[in-house]
Amino acid sequence: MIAAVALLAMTGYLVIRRILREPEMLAAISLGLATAWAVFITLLNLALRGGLPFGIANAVAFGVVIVGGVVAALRASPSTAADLDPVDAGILLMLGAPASLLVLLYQFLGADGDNFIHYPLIALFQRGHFPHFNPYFPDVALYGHYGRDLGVAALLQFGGLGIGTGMIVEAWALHLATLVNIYFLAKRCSASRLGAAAAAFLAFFAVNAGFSDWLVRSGLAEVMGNNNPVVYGFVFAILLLAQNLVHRPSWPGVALLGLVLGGLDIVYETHFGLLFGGLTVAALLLFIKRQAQAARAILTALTIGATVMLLSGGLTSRILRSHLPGRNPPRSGPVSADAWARAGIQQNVEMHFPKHPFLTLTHARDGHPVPLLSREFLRGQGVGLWTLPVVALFLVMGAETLSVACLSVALASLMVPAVIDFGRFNGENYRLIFFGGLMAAVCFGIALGRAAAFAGRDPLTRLARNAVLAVAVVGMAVTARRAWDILEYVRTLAFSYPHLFRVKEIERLEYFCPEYGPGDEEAAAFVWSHSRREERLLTNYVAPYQLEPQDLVNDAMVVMTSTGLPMPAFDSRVHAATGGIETSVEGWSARTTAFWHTADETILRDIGVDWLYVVPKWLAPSIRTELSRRPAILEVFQTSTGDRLVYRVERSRLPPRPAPPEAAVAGLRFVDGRGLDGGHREEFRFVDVRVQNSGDQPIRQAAYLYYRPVDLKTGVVYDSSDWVGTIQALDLVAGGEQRLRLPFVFPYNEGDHEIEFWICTAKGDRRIGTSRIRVISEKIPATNPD
Amino acid sequence: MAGVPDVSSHRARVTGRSQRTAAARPWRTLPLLGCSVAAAIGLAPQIVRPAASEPTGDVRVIAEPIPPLHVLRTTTIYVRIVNESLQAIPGCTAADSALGKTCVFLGGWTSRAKPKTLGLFENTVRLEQPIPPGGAFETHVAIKPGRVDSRFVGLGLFRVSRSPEGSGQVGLVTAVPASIAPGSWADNHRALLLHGLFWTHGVALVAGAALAVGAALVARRSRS
Repeated sequence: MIAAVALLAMTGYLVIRRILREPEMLAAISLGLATAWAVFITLLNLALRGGLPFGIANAVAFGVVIVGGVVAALRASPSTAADLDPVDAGILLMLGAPASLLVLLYQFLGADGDNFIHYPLIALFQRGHFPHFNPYFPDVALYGHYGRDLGVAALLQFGGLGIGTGMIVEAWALHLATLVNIYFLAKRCSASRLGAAAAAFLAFFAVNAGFSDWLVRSGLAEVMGNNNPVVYGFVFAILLLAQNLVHRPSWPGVALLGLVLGGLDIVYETHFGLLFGGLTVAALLLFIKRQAQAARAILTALTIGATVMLLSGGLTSRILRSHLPGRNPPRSGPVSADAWARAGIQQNVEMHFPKHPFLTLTHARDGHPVPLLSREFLRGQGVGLWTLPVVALFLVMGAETLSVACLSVALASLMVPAVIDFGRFNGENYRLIFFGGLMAAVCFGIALGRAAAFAGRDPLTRLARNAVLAVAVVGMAVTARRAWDILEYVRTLAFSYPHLFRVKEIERLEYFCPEYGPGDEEAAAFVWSHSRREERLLTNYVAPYQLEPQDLVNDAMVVMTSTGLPMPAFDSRVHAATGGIETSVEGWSARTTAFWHTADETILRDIGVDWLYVVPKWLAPSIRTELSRRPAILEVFQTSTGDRLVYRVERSRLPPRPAPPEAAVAGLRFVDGRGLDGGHREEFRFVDVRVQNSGDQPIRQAAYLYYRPVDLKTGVVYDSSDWVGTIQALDLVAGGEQRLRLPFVFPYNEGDHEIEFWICTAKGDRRIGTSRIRVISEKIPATNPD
Repeated sequence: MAGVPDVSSHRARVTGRSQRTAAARPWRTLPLLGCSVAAAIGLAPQIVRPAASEPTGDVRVIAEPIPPLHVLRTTTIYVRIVNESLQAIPGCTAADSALGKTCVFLGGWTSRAKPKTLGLFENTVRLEQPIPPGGAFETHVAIKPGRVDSRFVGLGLFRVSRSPEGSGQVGLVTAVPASIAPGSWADNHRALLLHGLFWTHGVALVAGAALAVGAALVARRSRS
């Protein structure tokens, strides 16, 4: 992968230097890397949308980028030698050293975020899955937000690194490129080196945006995980490409800007929209300034960007297409619990205007409204946002095109979440707040540079200017205190707990899953090589001491990542208080729990998997014996140490659901159940259920009986993956009774529930009775950290 | 056993005092007679049950002096668990644990302050055999310190159960003084990498500053 990244950087440098005529060497390298990475992701996505298989699409996209570099090297030659300014190089070394150190320390400490979804998504892309879906709910398609994972997956195909290490390479390379891109963007906007240094410094170490009592991010040096390196790699490549286009309009520049802008939509939809708006403002300003050629170039690039966005199949294009004539736009208003759950898992965003209350942000912790101009919001922000009104006035008066574009992006980032209602995703507005703070900080740096370049003849004016600059520099230093504290914390953490500093890929996986080891690598390699792409897997991977829901998710994440198969082991949960559906993965479904206590083939068929990945020491011997007796479940692999087993599930041999004629079981009634009282949350039991034949004819046949829980507090029926059913041999004379032994998993919410018992018939499912139960809360004793 | 009150001798002392008092004042023998009658009709178990269920001692983990530990190097510590309580400690197999039955674990952890309650375990071992009241069991637990500044090794038992009342600490926590030596660079490739990271970035920072200032001065001189 490192060689592939180096090739991208070299190709990008050649194109930016030789075709776009970038005069400065450092800018050509940084912009070249970010642009080549972005173009590669965009082309790869378009090729995949065009129907090419993953491997071919990867080769085509990478090949086109490399060919672009070769053409640049052969056909074009720069008019002048590249300029390497030693002062710029020195300043960037000074800024880049702490930024690089923070990125590396954080990444090696395993801080890259939201890995529960990114790791398996990258693995699934590597297996050739496209379009993507939720690995925990394989039947639920996803739409947006995947560009980063797609790019990492594609570059990992060049070999040499694991997913976690690949993320480190990506974060480090792109973030340092972003630092240089911000420097040169601000240098050209402010015509000042001081402005460039200030903007880059503020952007990386002194943004300080967020909610003061929840999460304040100090700058890009801290925001270096998750999608962020790719997002800000795109964002500042777009702004610098636009800056180049304004100064040197050219068709290649237009094409590159359009491609990168359009590609941003599959990485981060919100930032695509904000940059599209910012560049539109820039184009309008250029028309006003009578720079028609540059304005047309920007507008053409915007058109190309919009076209690429529409073709990319991301979230924005999906929303826009759904509003085309003849299409059914998504319904608004109340929806069913299933639809609500699915929309949550898919991260479907609904937008309404205006937001109530208006001009109000939503606190990320508990969702309470925070007015935009309130003390509560403003005290969480840094110097960039505090000075924004003055900076805005200064920049508008200066009318420098990209400065105004940056300013409009900053303002829009703060205004959009305050006036548009994003429904259940309102709490995510802290991302836009950070982006607003970041762009405000860049604007502050540009304004500072412009002020420094202002040469007044009057000594008093010069004195005032110097005083303002001195105060600003002191303010910047004070604001960077948080970043310094973070560096100190990370340094202390790394040296005090060196075992947390994970260097090898396997150590990084152990961070999520403490029991992960060589046995897993052996077993996972077997599954990866012997399974087909469309297959699914189930594991009992959870150590007895892992008592938190996150442990289950992490274990599943590691197994999915190393086998490349999705795992439908989870349920979408009803929130105990609100009755809404949790969008996060909280725990195993009742079916999964029941299967690992029974080895029942019917339950396994309902879960729908092709492989079992088993840790024998966490499996009861009786269940292992049961598994060996099941004709459809074959043990196909055992690691050399015997600590992992792999079973192949032959789905075609699993027993089908019997569906007797409705009339044949019409008399079946539920009477009562024994063992349904006093269960703890998610406790497994076998319960004795008494059924009666109230009809005139005997019932003698196999039938599929299942139960489904209803939360009486909220009235919501649990997810279908929590309905557990088995095949029962019914043998009841007319008027007779029979006791059935059913596997039962107590609901995950405490309190009163109604358990509905159903039978499956040829004419559909029929409820045979209900029983009320109370679930007791179970608390897990916490341990005190040292 | 030293330091553990003996229930039978305690009860004997109480009975002796009662007998002396009864001899002085005969009418005060009535309550004693009443108790005897109550015992005869089967109430005695009700009366003595609370006393019988009260533990007379506790579960303790006894460890030999611990040899010097090294950061990130696993050291096995051999311990003796003494059950001086009246409750048996259940044994628990891997299968029991997998099925969610109540299990008792021995945990070990390192700590800067003297630990009084359970800490964040660095390693645990499940007690596979039951320890009856008055019994003892020898086992071992691995310790792999993460920090150099820890001064104690904490050892304690905890019970994991599906019910909240059945879970938590079992018996007393034992604090054993320990000295932890930093891992050498040969032991720990991370130390090498960490120092390397800081040094290279520090050099880059200083070189950048020198380059920027030097180049700026040269430019200024050439302008003037």
